[in-house]
Amino acid sequence: MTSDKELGNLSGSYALNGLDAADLAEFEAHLGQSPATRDEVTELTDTAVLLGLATRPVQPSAGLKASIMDQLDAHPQLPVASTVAASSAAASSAAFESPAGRKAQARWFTRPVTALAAVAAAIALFVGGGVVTTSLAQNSFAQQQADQLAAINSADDAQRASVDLADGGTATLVWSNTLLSSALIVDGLAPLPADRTYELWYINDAGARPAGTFGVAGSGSTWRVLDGTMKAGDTVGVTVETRGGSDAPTTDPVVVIASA
Amino acid sequence: MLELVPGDSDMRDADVSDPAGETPASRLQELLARVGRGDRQAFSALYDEMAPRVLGLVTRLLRDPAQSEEVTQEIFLEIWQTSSRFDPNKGGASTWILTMTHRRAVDRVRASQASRDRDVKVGIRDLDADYDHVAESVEVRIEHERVEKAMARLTDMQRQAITLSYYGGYSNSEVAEILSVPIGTIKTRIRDGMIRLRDEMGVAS
Repeated sequence: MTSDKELGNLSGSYALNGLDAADLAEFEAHLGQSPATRDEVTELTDTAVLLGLATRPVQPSAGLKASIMDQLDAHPQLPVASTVAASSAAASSAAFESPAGRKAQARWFTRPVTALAAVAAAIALFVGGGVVTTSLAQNSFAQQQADQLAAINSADDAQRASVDLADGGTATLVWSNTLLSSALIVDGLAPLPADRTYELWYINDAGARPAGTFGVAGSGSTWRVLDGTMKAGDTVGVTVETRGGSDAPTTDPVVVIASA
Repeated sequence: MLELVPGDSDMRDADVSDPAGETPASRLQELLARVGRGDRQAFSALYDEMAPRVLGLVTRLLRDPAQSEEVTQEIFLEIWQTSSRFDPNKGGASTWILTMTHRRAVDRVRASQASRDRDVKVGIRDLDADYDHVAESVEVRIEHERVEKAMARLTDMQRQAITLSYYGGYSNSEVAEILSVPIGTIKTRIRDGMIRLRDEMGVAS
């Protein structure tokens, strides 16, 4: 165990993203307990930004922007209010009084680092490989959703069901009836043309409720926490819809998983 | 012009929240807020403003142009996805973007096998080494000179350790090995040096 004084010494390296893995975990735990360290890290991070702005700007190639704009549909935006992350941040917000403290709080409690690691491990269990975890590390939407998936996966009543897909892949649903929430993990789903998207549905006797859209990259592997509230016994389906999604399914589902 | 006037805190805050210079901080923040509400036109404008800065920093760390553009693409998709969580009360828009940029660039440097082969000299050469003063806009040049001036106030070891960490993407243990100095010393030098830079450049919350 490292002393607080030694940990406080890591603030500069933290602001430069220079900490080795073991130090990083210990320092982030320390950040949660030390408002003074948080303030210092906030200021040193702002200082590091000035180092970044002192580098020579580089004009991107002409194709880069078009390539990014084309991918926006496959990268859903986070909703404005955080759910799980917000409640955990509120629980640990006691010591943020100064403006720097509030700034620090806002920054340091928005990265569900431990949840992310837990989810990466869980997904590796489901699909048995590194494909999904690779994209996870680079994808912040996944990072943000990681809290929710970790919560579902660690719920006392977490359940899962897998189905084989027509063209050889698998889809796994993990859900919790107490959390009213579920996530779908797919492996081997075919990528879609740019004007189409996969759309998730909660389905029961009353009909199908839209639960978010997603795209898959070349590997065909991804995962997504479903939007909205799951009702006990809902079936989860995936259809191919036009870009932007539909209010009701317009094609036959490519994935159907019953949660009962 | 950017020599800081001690005690003029409004001035300093303005500098910190608007380090991009030519773009008023309020305009960037407004753009980012609109991006958070799904506004693609705003995203397009934000890209035009910030892409050369983002790619510039990524390229400084990764060197390889193709990889640097790939990482820049990931960063802008992350901006798109997470901009709804941006809150101007918690820091400026360019701070938010550049902080994310550096983290992603370092992630890539560490993950890439090529990082093991990186030339140490790339990391420790001066900030100025590949800098073309004539070609840059006034605003960029001022930012550069401001950092250069502050860096000159550090001890050699502070400067080397910070340069290797920030511009080279090296971890503490790698920096310790490169400079043949105990890792504890590196951590202390980096912190002392960053505090000195903070004070020299007038960064305050």
